[in-house]
Amino acid sequence: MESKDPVIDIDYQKVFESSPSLFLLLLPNSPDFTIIGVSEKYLAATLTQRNEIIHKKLFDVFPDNPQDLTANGVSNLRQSLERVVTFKKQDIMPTQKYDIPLPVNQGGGFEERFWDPKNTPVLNDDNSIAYIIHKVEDVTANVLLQKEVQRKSNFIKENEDRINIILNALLKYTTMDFSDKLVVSEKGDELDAIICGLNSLIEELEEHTNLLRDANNELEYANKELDSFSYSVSHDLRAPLRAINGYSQVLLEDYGGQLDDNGKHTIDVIIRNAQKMGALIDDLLTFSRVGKQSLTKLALNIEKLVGPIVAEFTALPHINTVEFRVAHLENVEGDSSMLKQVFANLISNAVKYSGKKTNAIIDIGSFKKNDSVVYYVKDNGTGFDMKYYGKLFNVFQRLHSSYEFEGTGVGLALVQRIIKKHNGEVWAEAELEKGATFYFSLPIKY
Amino acid sequence: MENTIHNIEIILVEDSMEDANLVMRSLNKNNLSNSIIHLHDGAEALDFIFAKGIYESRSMDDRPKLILLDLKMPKIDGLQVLRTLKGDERTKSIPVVIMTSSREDRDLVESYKLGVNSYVVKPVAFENFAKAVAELGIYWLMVNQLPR
Repeated sequence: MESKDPVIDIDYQKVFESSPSLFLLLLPNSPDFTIIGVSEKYLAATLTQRNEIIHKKLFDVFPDNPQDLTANGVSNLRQSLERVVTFKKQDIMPTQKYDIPLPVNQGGGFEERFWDPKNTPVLNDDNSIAYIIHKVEDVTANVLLQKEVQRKSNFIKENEDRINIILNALLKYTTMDFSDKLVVSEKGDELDAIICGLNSLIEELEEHTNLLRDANNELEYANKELDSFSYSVSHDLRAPLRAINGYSQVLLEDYGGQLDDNGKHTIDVIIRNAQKMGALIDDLLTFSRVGKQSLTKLALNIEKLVGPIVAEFTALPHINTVEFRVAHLENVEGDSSMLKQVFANLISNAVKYSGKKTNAIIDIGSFKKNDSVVYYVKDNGTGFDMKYYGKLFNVFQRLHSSYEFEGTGVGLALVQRIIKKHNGEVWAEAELEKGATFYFSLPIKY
Repeated sequence: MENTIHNIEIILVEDSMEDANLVMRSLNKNNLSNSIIHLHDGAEALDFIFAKGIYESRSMDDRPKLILLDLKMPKIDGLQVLRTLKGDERTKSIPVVIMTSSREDRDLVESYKLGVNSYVVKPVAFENFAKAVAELGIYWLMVNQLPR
């Protein structure tokens, strides 16, 4: 038996039309490029019917989207087909944006599509071109995905610095280790991961905020209690003192005749101590009030502020022996009534601790140091032992007995509180029996 | 003071008996205490001034020349009394002096907002206290002129 290829009658047209790719078969009749064959897949992808496009000029049935002014699909394809005709070689085109016209029953207009086209010549034996196979692949999904990835990645790039700043700032307020949480999940991308991380941070921040709010409420409550406490101290503690004081005075006035000197002295002691306690309460209230008060900062003329204080002390009858020497005083920003209190307290201290001397001198001056102005009040009085310096500014601490020098022990604590409130510093130098200098600095600009 | 509840010149509203006695002693020393009445809280003060309750036999036309008002009192406090007095046409022009132990700014500010005529912080020291009472008594009773 003679071996012979089985003669099979292959219907190549059927094969072409049923192929699993998107094909057009074109005539090389530039510029028409008449469509003479099309695969079912091509028809499906372009939402066209065979009878609508077969034997039609290519660019008549697939024109550019007239709404897309940048559309260049037609001219790119035409150039590619011309190249095939000229060079008789396959021409691979880069990804083309070519919007397909939608049929009227699908709303008309154009749908954005991206294609990877390849144009391949079918050559005759004489090397002339019989047909051109135009094969395209619909890569719309890929392109759109790439675009989305690009958009997100651009977003991250553009905002990288800012995101880092935010994350670093947030990190300071959280104990959470969110480096673990910023991994790229299987489905999400970096942006999703960052958003997840941020969400966790926000949750944690909310928790912190709640804790802070609770603490704040407690503080507010405590503050209110303290407020009513000091109000009550102010009112209720002074009233009985006034009665003690007043009735002792009444006793002295109405029955003084029946008392001997010892009895009168006893009543004097009662009165003096009641008054001292009154002063103590007043000082304490001032001290607590300064803690609560907010600063009213203004540019101050310090010489004008100090002048009247010095004048007041000079006017006191037993101060005659004290010589005040006020040097030039720098101006500064601050709360005028609080700083007045500071100068008054320091000057009053200087007077108190030097007033017993015969040639008491009090120097008041200022100098600039770095970004601050330093003021000083210097006396040549009793001074104090520097080894007790640590106690100097504590409230109710005194370095002298009240037998030697009267006082409540609030004055310097108040000075320190006011200066701290101004972001300044206060310090002192002293030597026993030689005098003391108190300094305080105030920042020039807040 | 025993000359009844009519023709009262000074009303002292003060819950502390001790403070009240010291105030009256000071006024007395300056011969200002002939027609003073001491009321013990804000409720009693309002009854008296508006001739209500146990004081309904009074006539509101017998207007006092001065009301000395403590702030912190049981029942109705001084600020409430002040608010009522200054909010009523009939009593608006009676001078009210707040006398209080409180140095709290908010009391001072509130009192002036409500239209107090004067605000005195009672000093602990008796001499200063006596002086303050005498001075304000002299000012409001003798120097100050009221509309008729």
